[in-house]
Amino acid sequence: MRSRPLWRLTVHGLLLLAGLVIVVPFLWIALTAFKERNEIFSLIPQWLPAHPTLQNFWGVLDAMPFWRYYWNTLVVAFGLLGVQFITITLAAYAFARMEFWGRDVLFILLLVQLMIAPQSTAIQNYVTIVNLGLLDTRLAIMAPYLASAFGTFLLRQTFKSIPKELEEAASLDGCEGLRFLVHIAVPLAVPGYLAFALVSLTYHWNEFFWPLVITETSKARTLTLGLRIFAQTAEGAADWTMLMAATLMVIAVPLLLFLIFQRRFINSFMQSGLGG
Amino acid sequence: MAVARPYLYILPTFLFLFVFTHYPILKTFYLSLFKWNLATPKMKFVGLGNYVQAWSTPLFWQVLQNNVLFAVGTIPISLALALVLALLINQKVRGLAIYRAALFYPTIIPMAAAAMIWLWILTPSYGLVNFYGKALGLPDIHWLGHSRFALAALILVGIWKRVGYYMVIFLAGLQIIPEHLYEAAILEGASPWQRFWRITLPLLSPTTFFVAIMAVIDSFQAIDQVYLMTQGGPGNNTNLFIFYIYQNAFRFFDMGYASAVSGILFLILLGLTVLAFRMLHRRVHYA
Amino acid sequence: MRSRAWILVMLLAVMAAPAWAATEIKFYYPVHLTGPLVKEIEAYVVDFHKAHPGIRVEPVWGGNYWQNMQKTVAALQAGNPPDVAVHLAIDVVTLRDLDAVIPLDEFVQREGGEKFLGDFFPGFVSDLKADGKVWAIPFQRSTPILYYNKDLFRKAGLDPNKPPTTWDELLATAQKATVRDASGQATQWGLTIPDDPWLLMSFILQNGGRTHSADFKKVYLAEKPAVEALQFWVELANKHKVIPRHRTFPESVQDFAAGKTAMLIHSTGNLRFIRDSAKFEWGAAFLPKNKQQAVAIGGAGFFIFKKAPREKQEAAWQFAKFLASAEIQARWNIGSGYIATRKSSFELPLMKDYAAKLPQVLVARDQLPYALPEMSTHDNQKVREIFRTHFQEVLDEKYTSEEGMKKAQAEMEKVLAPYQK
Repeated sequence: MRSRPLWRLTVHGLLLLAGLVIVVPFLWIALTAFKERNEIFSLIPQWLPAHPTLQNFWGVLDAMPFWRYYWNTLVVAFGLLGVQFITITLAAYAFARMEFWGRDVLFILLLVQLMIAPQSTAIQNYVTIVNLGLLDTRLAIMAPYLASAFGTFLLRQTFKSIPKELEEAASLDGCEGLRFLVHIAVPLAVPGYLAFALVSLTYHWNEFFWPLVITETSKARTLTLGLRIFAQTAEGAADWTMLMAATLMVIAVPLLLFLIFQRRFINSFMQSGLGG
Repeated sequence: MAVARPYLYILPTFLFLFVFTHYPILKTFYLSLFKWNLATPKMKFVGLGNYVQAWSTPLFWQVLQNNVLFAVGTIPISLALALVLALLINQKVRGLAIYRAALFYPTIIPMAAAAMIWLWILTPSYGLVNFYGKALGLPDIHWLGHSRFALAALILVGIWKRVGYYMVIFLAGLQIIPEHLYEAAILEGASPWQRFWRITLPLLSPTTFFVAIMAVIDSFQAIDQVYLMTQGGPGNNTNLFIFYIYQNAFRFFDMGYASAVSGILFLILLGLTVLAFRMLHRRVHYA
Repeated sequence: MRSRAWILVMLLAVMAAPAWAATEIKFYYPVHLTGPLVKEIEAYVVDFHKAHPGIRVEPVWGGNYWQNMQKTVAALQAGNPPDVAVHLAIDVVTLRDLDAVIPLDEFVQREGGEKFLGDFFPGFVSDLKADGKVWAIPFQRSTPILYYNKDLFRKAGLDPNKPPTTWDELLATAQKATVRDASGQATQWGLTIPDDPWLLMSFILQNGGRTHSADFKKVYLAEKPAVEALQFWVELANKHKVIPRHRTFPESVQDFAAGKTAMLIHSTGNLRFIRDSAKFEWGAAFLPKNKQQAVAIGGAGFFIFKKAPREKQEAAWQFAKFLASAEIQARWNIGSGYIATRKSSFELPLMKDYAAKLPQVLVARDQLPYALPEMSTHDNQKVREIFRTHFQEVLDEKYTSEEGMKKAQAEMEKVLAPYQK
């Protein structure tokens, strides 16, 4: 038997090491965000800012329509979630509980969405969006995801775990079909919805490629894309302090929410095992 | 009416799915049968011509090789690290939640942010890595401009970003293993190493396999860090599949060829995904 | 009472009419360099609206040059192209291959034909012509120039007012200005050049070589002058070790601004950024010559698209003309570092004042007599990518200069084969 304290020390040591490797980069950029521009070109990395300043943050707000991007991202992420809740609820229930011809084949067709990289369909979807007259709109950013194979699949598993007897008892009481779905099944499936919501929100908050393709101006642009564009232009290219400030501002809210709702977040990802 | 009901329920989903997923895939395969680029502005049917072109283009094979290297570099290390970390966290030490959060947070931030962070850290001379590296006597390597190390840098960023996520899935898998199995083994005098090999690893295997397949798919879909950090260079050493497709479609405007490569990638991923779902069934059984 | 109401209505109608009848045009433009250039362009658009109330321009920033091109092509394929866009001179070929743009001769004639074109620097117009027609008017043009850090020159014992003028001098100066640590690693480079074909082209031209044929169908990279030019660069990096092997465009500028390199060969377009960031005394000079003084031109012009209805094309021309005017070009030069495309820009008081304060701004203009078009062929992105790949592989010592250029030449000829008609 190994001695408990030594064992504990080893475990802590290893975890600390790993934790540091993961966290230190973040700390470094967080500190950089508060430095003055010239400080960073010093040949010896200074950890703490010599003259901590907020000017980088103001600079970011000045150089890009940060609040607009924020709002766009909120609208896209939550608007999308709202629509997804409807589409996945209906579809998941059908796949979980109903018998119909071609069900299994259709289910596989559904899962195809999980296999394709968004980049492969980007070109064609761009053309479709233009034909619908929706170029450079938030709706366009949401469009390819309005149906969610991942959400449908997840919810199907959740619905499947509702005991059949419950459904039978309910139908005896006259509560069946849509009413059953809305009044009984959905409330019972809340953990599933939560899991999906966290994964979906994280994904769409951070999405880069599709918004890049489908937006032209800052009208509908989202935060992550804005960050990248900011990095590319002017101030960004060599202005690391501003860039780090911008990065910090972009990841602030998700990170904060994550720290608060840590357990929930991690549980959702654990349950999903598919998303992210 | 009752017969139509299921179909009505799945209608919204399938409507969007068809327009934005199935149709583009079909269109891509259709386009892959045509030569359509700057030299041939009007689409010309060439059957499998584009696929043959891919077969006989050294760059295509280099991209495939790069991607396989990338996968080989990323997956075993990520999984091994994730497993070890999960085992450590499962030890129920104090401060568990903090470690877990610290290791998991990269999953929450966008790859663009991760790329930004690492671009800065990997800057030659005054970037964190090189500065402290020099103090340790290592040469001042220009990571992202180095023919051999650029891919390693992308692998590093990939691992950094994903290890927390895999760790959490392993944690889930570990927590399903019944305690009494371990207790019985201890009674029989099994060492910790034996317990690991005989109980943990086997019972974890469906999870491991599943995560591995997902990791392979992820690594073939890697684009953000390539686009944001190296643009496929230097030379074509970090040119990965999705970037290659993007280059051909959006830079060279060779739509026919890009569609063919897309098609090939899709078939590779299809095969891998089917495998993944077979594994998922096994996992559910064990749980 | 009623008459007053009528007057109000009439007044409103008159005021509303211009906006109501305004022609709207969509304008795609790239920003490829460091500096707050998006803001500059937006300011010009505002001024244009004031001068031309009947036209409204929707400026769409398209990213860098390639992203902007991709945007345009995607838009073309979706049947929704912009009305006017800024694209690289080397994209004249591509846009013509796609049959996307119209020749501008008719508009040019209206403005006075040769007299109008004559005010532009000849080098800037000639590479926007093909088949005897004018396909674009110059907007943002640049050439590489040699930036040098006078403070670091002094430290190295070099004369801060004597930048190198020949290849030999360049090598000697770089050697003197490179500072190494105990292990032999360079802590300060003598010279930094982004490892991009655009910069190599200038060296090829200075060595008396050529890159492409005027009909865009052939390339000449395997010829001796080109191989020698590449070899010179390779030796700077691998034999003399005075330049870093790989540096991207932004990295090189950063390094110069941070004082990590004594000299920088880079686009004049970075002038403003360096002006704003350098905390040391710096100068600008011509690129050194070898067999001849030469430099490759870069940059872009205004293209007007075929699909746009006639009235939008007219509006687009007004816009292009406005942005290509002497005054806007002077402002653009000051605000970025791109060279004002019109000779008359340099006569404006605005420009003269600026040049008095920052004489470096005139270097690029003075270098113009030696400027030649950059490499331009059909399918130029692919060709350029082949060039870049092999260039970087030669630097990585995967091949010798000769092997690398031969391979590049062969692959490029394959790509150009369908066009040899």
